[in-house]
Amino acid sequence: MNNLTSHQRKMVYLVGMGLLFIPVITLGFPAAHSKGQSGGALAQMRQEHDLGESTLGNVDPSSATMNLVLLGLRGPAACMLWVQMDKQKDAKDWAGMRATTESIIKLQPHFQKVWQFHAWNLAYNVSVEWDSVKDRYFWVKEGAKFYRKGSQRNEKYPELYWYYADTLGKKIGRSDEWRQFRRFFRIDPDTARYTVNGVPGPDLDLNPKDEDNYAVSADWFKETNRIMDQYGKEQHIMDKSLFRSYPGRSTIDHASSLQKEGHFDEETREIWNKAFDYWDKVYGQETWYPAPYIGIHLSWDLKQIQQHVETTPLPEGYKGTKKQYELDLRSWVARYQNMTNFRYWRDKCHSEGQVNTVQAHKELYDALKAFANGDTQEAERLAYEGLLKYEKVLGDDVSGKGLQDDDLAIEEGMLGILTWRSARELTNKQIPNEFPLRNMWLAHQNRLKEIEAEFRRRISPNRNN
Amino acid sequence: MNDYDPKAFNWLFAFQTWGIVCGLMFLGAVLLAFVLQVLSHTLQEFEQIGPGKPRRSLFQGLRNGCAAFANGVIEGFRDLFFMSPRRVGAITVLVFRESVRRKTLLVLVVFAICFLFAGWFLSDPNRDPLLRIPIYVTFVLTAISWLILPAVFLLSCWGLPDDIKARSLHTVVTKPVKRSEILVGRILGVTLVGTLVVAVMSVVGYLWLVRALPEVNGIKTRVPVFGEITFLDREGKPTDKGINVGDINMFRSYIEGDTAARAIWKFSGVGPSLLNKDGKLVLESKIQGFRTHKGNLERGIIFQYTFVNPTTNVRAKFQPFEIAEFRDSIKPIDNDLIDEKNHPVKLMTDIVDKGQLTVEVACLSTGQFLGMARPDVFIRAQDAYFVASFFKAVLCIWLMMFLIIVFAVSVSTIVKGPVASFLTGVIIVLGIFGRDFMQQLVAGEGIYKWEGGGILESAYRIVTHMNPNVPMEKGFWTTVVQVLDTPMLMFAGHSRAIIPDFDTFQMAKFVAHGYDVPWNSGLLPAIMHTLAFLIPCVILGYFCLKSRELESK
Repeated sequence: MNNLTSHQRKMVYLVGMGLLFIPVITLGFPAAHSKGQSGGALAQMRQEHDLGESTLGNVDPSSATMNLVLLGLRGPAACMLWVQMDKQKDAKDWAGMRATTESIIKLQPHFQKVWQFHAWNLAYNVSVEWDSVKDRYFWVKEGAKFYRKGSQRNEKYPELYWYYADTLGKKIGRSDEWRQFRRFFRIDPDTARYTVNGVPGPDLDLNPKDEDNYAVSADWFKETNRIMDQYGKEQHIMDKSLFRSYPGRSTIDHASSLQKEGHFDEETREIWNKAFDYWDKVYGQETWYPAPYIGIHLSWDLKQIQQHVETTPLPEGYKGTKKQYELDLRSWVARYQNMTNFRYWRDKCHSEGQVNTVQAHKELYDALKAFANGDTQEAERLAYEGLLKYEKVLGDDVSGKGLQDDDLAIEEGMLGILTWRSARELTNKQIPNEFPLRNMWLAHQNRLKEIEAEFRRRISPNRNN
Repeated sequence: MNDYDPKAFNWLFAFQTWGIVCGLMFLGAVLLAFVLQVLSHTLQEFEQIGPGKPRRSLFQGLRNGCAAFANGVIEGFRDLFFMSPRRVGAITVLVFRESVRRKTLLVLVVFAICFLFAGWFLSDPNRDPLLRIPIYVTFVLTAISWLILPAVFLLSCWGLPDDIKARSLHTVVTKPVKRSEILVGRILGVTLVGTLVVAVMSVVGYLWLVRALPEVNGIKTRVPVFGEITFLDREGKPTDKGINVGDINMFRSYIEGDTAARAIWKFSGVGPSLLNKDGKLVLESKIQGFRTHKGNLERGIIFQYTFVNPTTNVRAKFQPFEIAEFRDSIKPIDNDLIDEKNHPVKLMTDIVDKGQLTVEVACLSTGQFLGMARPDVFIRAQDAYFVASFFKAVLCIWLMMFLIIVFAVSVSTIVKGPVASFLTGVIIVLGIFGRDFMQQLVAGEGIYKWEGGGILESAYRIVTHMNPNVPMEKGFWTTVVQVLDTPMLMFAGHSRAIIPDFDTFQMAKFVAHGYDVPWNSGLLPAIMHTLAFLIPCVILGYFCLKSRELESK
């Protein structure tokens, strides 16, 4: 085929290999560590397109090693592990499943949906497989920690942060076991591990400052928004205007949960006020660009829109008149306020933050509790006083604004009347024609069946929540 | 171990299967050898006597062939049964040295690297020990088997063919060494290397385990005594199984709470030897719960044991307790109990009936269910040491390694290195991954449910485009086809036994979940499995080597 000797051929191969090394080395040169150094072309491109391990988040050496040693077999290996994990889950081999999940994530460390799937699986699907509520909580924590780990590996992307905050908030605060879970969040049931100086405390990985789950959740939602601002990455969970509202929503949930647990003190009121401040002064002040040339704030009312139009020049390139611009702004503000239910939550936070509102809630709550405990006289007294105060609250321009049309507020009022009427009926007393919130009682008779069921549930001795 | 149901070794079935498979194989081999001998001698006679006298040639060929065959068989068995330990030892040492020279011990370096970085890949050190121990133990035992098997597999498959190719075996066979000694010496030589590597790996692995998981030090493994389970339905009538609550895992079936539904366990061989130091009988359960409503979340589902003597109808209830899913629920049962009529009774004398203990399990929570299978309630005999269980599992890995060596060396007596590797590799892959599939295929279970008859009937249906649901027309040929199908299916069923079941050697599942490796359903099947392959492999390997021209490459 050719006239070269074996030795000459080897030399040609050697030279060829040497030549090929030049582009390989040039392209694959590591990233520059100081200014003035350009680094390899591939390293630069990795940096530019956020494809490098270190540019995506914390580097896990074991994950990097595994991907390296598997060469091109990462895909088949990941598929096998997924199948294995599913089988282990079906066979309820939780230890095996957890370990396989870790292996999968080492192979797919930057696949956010994978993190989300497994974390959800642990926190929701695995946890319900256990009968003991303590065990369930353990798996909810496992899921939350998994989200946390995922967000560290992908630290520039807000989605996993959001899911982490959501798990701490909603999964712990709203599931069937919410009473137990919220308690465990402050005092972990694994006391052997989470006792400091003889005092049982929380799992410090999730709750380092020993706070309410919704407070921690709100902090993480704020962190999510900060990550979004800092790196400018989009999320694909929901509309941005709703996504950004979660620190406030979580604070609202915090206050609501405290009331649900019977805490009607200054602390609860402060949390309502904190929620209001965030909703109105932080979230409400964010600028949204729903259409070209249109920039709005959710907190704007008609007057503020008018003032804005008058004081600022029309955006460059906007072809309409000032009047048209004002109409556009009004339309978009209304649309966004409706979408985010902005006005409702703002008014509710404001109303709930008032002293008289808290007192009315407390008396109605205590009345129901006294009724459940069999103290009908006290129940009647407290319910009546509570109803009087509640009527005043609802009629007030400041405190009543956010509650008048609120379904929960109506339910609370109706429950209060039902408590008062039931207490009177049990002691063979007549129901007078006139009583506080009579109009509400008459207006919502169509909801009575549903409210009665709720009343029975709340006074049941086997009540879980 | 959530859905693992260890079954005692069935001697009768095992020997029956082994006898049939080996018998058929030997019969086939003997017939083949006989025909070949007769044929070759007849051809020789034809050549010598010439074509003019065919009858004489045939007769002499048959006579000489029979004699040669008989001689071969007699000589073979003499070779196999009367081997010189000295010569076998010499070959063993030779193979050992050769293996060391081939850098087999480098596998220990790979092992060391695995363990150096294992911590990176294993679970979080802060995790619950209950979740960590299975992972670490499984890792150590899996690492040992995965590293040693390829090494001995290659040594066994390539050693003999390489010797033949290099003609080094030629110099050996010129000495007064029997072929059986060569075969056995080689098997033992590779086994010696493998044993050394397994020993080092297992000791290092154990020490690593103790260092990585300090809680392992001092833990003990359960020695369970399993019983048999039956069920009563919600009306108290006997039934095969409990209720299916829709769990994707069908291993357990469920009994309904606050009804007459019961799961009844019968334990045999219950005597004082099963009592613990305090004279109590320890019952452990792995029962799972299923809630149809939330109920009281702060409390688990409640269940209760009732100890029953079916002969005297004495019934004693144990105090109810909550289930502890996926955890050890251990209840030491006192010998002194109170029966349902409020009379004091003794567990071991009044309840245990001729060594048999009957335990009824009832769910007391209304509207909730308890899921149970046979191994979910067991008597916990005296615990064993973890280290003993660990090394029993290692012994099973060793047995698996030995089986592969025997198989590979035997195969390498007749084929060359690459073919031997391929064949042994296929057997290993099938043995690990294909057994369940073959079992389902042969038994017509699961998704492989038979439809449309056996092999011949199916062939007929395919050719005639006949739907499997349409019955065959009754008649002579249908009967013939169906009669012939039966032995063919039996043949297919028994052919499966030619592939070793490597799952028999996997004991990590026991040790990892805190169980002692049982004798009757763990070690004994592994030993018998190895012996079952050792005997035919050595015999076939010997005859193959004996019939081989070692001078040709």
